[in-house]
Amino acid sequence: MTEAHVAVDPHASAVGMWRRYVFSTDHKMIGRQYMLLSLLMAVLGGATAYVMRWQLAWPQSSVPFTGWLPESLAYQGVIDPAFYNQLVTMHGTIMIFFVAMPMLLGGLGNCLVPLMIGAPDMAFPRLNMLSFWTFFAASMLLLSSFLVPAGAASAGWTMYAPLSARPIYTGVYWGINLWLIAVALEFVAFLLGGINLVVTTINLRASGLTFMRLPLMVWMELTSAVLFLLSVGPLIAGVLLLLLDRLAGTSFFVPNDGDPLLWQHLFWFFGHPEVYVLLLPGVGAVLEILPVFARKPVFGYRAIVWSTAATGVLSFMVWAHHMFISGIDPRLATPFSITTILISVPLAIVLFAMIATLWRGSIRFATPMLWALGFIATFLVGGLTGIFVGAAALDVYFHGTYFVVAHFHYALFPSVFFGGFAAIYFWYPKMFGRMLSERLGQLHFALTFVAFNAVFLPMFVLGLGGHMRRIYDPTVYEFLRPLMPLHVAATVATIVLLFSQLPFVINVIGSRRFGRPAGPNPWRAATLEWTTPSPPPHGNFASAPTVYRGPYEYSVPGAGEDVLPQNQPPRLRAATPSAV
Amino acid sequence: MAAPSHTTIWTWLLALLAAGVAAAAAPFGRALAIGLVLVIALIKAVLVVRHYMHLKREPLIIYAIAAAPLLLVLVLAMALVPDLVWRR
Amino acid sequence: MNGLNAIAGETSGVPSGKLGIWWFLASETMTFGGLLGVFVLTRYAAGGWHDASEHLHVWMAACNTLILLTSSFTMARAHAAALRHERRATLHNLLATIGLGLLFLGIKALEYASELRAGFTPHSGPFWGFYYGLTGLHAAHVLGGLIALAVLAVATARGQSWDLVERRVESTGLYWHFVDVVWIFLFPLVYLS
Repeated sequence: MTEAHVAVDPHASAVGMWRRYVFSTDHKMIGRQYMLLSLLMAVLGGATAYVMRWQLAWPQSSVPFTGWLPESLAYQGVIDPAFYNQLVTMHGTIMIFFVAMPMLLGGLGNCLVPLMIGAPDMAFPRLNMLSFWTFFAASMLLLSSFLVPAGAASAGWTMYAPLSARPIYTGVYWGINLWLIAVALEFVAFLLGGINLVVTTINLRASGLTFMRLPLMVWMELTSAVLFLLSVGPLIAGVLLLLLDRLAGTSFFVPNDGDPLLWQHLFWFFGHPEVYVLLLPGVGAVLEILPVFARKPVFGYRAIVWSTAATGVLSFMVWAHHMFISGIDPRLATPFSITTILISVPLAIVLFAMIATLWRGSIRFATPMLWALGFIATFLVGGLTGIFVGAAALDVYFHGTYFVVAHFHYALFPSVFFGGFAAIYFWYPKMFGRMLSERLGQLHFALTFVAFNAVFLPMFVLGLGGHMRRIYDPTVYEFLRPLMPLHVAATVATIVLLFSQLPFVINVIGSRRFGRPAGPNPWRAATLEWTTPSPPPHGNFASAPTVYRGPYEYSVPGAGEDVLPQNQPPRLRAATPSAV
Repeated sequence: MAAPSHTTIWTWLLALLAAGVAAAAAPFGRALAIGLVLVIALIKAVLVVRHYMHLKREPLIIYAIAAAPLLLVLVLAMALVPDLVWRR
Repeated sequence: MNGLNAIAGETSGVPSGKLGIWWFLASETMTFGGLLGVFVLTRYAAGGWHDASEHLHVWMAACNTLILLTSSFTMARAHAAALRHERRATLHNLLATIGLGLLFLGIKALEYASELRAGFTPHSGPFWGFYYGLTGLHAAHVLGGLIALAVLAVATARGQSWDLVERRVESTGLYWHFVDVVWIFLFPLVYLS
């Protein structure tokens, strides 16, 4: 009986340490680099959340473990209001641009797409490496903005003008300039990475792998990349103009010559497709996991593909719903409300397809499945509350309140973290050759699920109560004081949420050495990546695979086995005819 | 008929450039001059894209990649009109 | 292996390098298209800014247009020569393209110097902000293109295989023609309107 073992790559010893671990052109190594950097940045993002939430729950109190901060930022542990604004800004910036993007597109996209389509690597391996190091440089630039005089950017992750357009308004000079350059550099990194993803998916598919046989994860990565490529341009232009406003004294976004709304339009024209860029890979991971742990094909594959395409197209036509009360022409509110409500339809179709995939399946609650189910439950709340804020009439009240904060955390956290963790628990055995601990995984999930809901559910109530977002001290406002217990609850839950990630860290690090060897296909899944050794060698496949069927042929009647791998040749039919 | 040579295209481009500059300098009404100049620019662009960038010979996917951003820029521009133009 | 950087594979029928460049150009179209669109609308709404734009050196820019159009011509000829495997002709046309590009930048620099000396800085007014922003962004792209062309010229001179040279000349050419097309719209919208 062959025992599962951790595969050894014959190519590995031929390459020196720098070429293998640092300047590798292998998509799997680059994917891991993106993953590691994103998880490290997530720690920083969590730290900013911790400090913010402590200040909100117990205003003007001393925040534990901030003693090392300079006095200008936190005098005896009490957070300075200007520093609070920096935390708000950097929390959003880090989480969206430096955690979610690298984890989902750089990490998952790089690791999985070539393997799932039967390719030896991405189409442009050296460009891939260049993309990662550009991203790394962008991350370092962003982090350095904490250390410059007057500190990091503080105008919100949306960097609205005119606050951001003149240094004197925020008091921050270099911090915002560095932010703009870091974000622009990040855009370049993902532009190059996105091109790689798209060209790889179009051109490097294995023989027999038509578009309608692609694993849905690949469809999602492709759509995300396309959305990013087509939406980022106007914001790059906007960043250039904002830099000119700050450095050359121009007035693109400053009245009277300029228009602050112009910045918002340019920002959100990108910003809205961007949230779908962040959502789709998580959806893809869930759609890969559900059939495996329900032993059932995905329901409505084509409907999902077309719905995803429709979502992508529509995502370019909804952006002004972020601007309903900004002073845009009120006549724009109606068309953008309509498109926003419309875009919920294809996404709802995808969610229904997920539920239908589970229906009457043979469900196994392994850790990846727990995360996938958790995604469905929580993203549902995010999506439904999006309809509330997407209707202009309601948004007049909700805009700028904690209702929006709760909505987007219920949309983004499930996508990025539930989807991301689902993917990590599912594909870790493939990437590292070892299984993760189920016990620790279940603990991680249970704690995170409960804590996450405990943090953000109260925020809907806060928003309904009229609580504005981004403010430093709610007790300054008489009408907010009765709501303070909700802040306390959310803060306690935040601390629990942060500690809940410890089982994950222990699991991921410890299983590298102590995890049970996984073998090529521990989950008995059907897609191509599970036909390679774990971890796959450089070049992935000993010989180019041929694909004979779709990616989710589980429990096919009359097949004789409960899964038909994509690359398994069809059995020759017996001579006697039988009802098929 | 063989595709026009690069030199032919170049000659047309130069002729259109001359026409464009002349149209701008000529005593037409402003709106007409600008309209003319933009149409000429469009023709020049089409010549470069079709013949130098070989878009004429490329499969549909390249057309799609080239066309999508143009449509999206149009969407953006249309949505900006109420705020940038009518508000002024 | 197809190229220095690319993995072999052409399921779509279009070589990966070409597909990649077109996607890159799509994104660049969004950037320049967005910026130009904003410029056009703002300029129209403000009444044309003719008091500002009449200080521009239209003839220098017209010369530059001529130069850039010709550089597209030499670039196309470089590609044709590469397809015919004529190394010297390819190299000469690449060098001509680079030379014309450098000339373009030189004239642009003279323009900027003259305007700055006359006191027209980016913050002299909304028109000037757009002028420097638009032409500056475009000039940066010209510079980037020249660097890519220089690398390509060196590789061609050094006897790199035709398989690689053909594809790289085509891809770099596509980028260079795109930069030309941007200028084809920039020139009338900035200088002639």
